[in-house]
Amino acid sequence: MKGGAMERDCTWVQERISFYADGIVQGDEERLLHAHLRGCADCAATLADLLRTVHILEHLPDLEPSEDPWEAISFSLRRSGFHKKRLLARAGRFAAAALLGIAGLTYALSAFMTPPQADMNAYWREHAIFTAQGIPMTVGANVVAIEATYRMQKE
Amino acid sequence: MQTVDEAELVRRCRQGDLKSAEQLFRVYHRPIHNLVGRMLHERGDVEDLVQEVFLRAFGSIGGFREEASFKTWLMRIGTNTCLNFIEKSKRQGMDSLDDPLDSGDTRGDLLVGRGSPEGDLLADEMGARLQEAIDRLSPDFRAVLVLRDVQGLSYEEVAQVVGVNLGTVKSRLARARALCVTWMKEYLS
Repeated sequence: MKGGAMERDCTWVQERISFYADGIVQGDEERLLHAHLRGCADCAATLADLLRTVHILEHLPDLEPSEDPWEAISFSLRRSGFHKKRLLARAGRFAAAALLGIAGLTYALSAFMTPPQADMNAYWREHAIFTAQGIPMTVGANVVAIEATYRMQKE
Repeated sequence: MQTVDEAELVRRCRQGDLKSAEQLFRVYHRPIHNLVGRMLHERGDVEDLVQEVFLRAFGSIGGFREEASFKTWLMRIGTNTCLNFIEKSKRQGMDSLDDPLDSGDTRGDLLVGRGSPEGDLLADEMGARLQEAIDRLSPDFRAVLVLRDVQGLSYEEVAQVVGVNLGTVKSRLARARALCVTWMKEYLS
């Protein structure tokens, strides 16, 4: 095709004609292609052939399977242990639930056996006497402190 | 009955649920059969390869990371299975898979399901000739053409399936189409 400086030759157009047919060319490139195709019978014929070919490709009839292979596929999957994943997954879930249960039970028991912190403070207050320094002491330590106090008084 | 979406079917399939696997198979059996049939066309046992595709897919479904759609992932397995088969056949010298088929080959499977009334004869003939053109393409070009123009995948999906960049898909498709147009010229005019 003969044309001005802005026009492109047939080789340039043929390289892009597939993209033009798919509508993925934009901007100046699209305008140049469009202008060329309007004026070039050869490239326009190539585009028509291309569009027709793509149309036939898109409408090729579906190939019909001659058989339903699912039975054979499922047989092979079973033989390979595919369905055992489910049993394993169930076993895994059961094991996780059991572990969680044991952990929960252990926590509950320990909470039950050990008085909460607030109760511990009350326990110490109830069972402690205060030395001259005001330090709370355990019952066992109290005996030692009382004995020491007596000794001091006697002396 | 509640409809289970594809992601849920895939999740259940990962856990070894055969019923979910069958549901996925029912959805994609025909597209995969078409892909394999168009890629190989009378050059291998299509039914065997279709089985192989699904066995590979379900066997490695734990590796499906959902970065692509399940369809794209399955198409990738299907395409690779076909390309591997073609490569293996070439190495074993079983058949020259890049050579065009003899014109005397039957094309019955292309016409299956069609009543072939007179008005459809031309379309049938064009379809048969076009399948011959597809057969003449190199496997890489054939894969891109079948995935894009026959299977209707987008350029991006084809790139994911074939594992090449978008530019390569575009150039391969343009070349493949141009070759088909050249070979179809006498039937198109």
